[in-house]
Amino acid sequence: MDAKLYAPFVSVFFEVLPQFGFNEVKRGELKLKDKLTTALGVTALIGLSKDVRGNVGYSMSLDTAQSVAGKMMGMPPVAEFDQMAQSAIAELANILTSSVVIAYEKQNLIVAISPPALITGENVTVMSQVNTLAIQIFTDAGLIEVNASLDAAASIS
Amino acid sequence: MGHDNYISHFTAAFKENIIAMTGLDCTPGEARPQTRTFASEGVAVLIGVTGTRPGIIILDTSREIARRLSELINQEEYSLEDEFVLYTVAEFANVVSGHAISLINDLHALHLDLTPPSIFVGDKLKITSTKIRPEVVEINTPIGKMSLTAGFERGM
Repeated sequence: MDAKLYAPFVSVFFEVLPQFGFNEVKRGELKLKDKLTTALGVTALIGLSKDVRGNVGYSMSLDTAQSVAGKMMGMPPVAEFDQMAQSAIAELANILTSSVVIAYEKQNLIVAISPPALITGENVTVMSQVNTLAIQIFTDAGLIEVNASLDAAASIS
Repeated sequence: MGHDNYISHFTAAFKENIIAMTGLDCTPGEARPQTRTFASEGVAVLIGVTGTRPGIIILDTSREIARRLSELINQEEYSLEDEFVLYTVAEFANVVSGHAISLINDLHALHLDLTPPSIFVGDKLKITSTKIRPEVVEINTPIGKMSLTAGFERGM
């Protein structure tokens, strides 16, 4: 596993979240999983292609998603996870991943990303066929778990 | 989007590949706009599209139909819990999507690429696409119904 591929997924939180009024951003545990799984109810998923191929899921509980959506809209936590709140979470995933792409460019890696898809449900398992690094990010809106499943073999060292 | 008729390439690729890989024929329905949020039947394979027209492709079916499709493709028996079933369906979706994207790139002079598949299983699974307006085709096969959703951002 190439740490240089995963490091930007942590640093972008410290760059992006304060811009939306988050006061607290702390990295928690890193965990290597043999597949991309999450027990949290809301996941925004974005795919990556070209020099780095894979998927990244930003997972959080419904309560956290409502708090994060509120912060994105400059409001208190939203009461319902409606269309507007869903768009806010998808947009945050898009902004974070776009910032990762810019960080990759500094490593001379060209990466393209897909539009975000938002997945909600109970007992959701997300599977990818390559190893996944799970990164906990603690914020004042709650825990966001980043599950990055990247094909390091395609990277340029 | 509809005027591009991209979904027809996915339907054609699905039909050609399911016949080649399982011997089953299928009857695709008419393409119609997919709702912004839709409920999965239990197993959803998502594949992203990157390039000049980014998008999302989703193959959705039930766990039972996924199991039967995998048995036909691999000529082996599986239980519903067998993870290999999910990887087989993901690979089937990948083959269909790769076939369709090649056609679209050739016909429309585009440079689209695919991201690796992600497989979602769960209860009350719902998928929302916020940046695209997808179309869906329901496909009847002798082992049950599957759906294929494809949506792209508007061209520049």
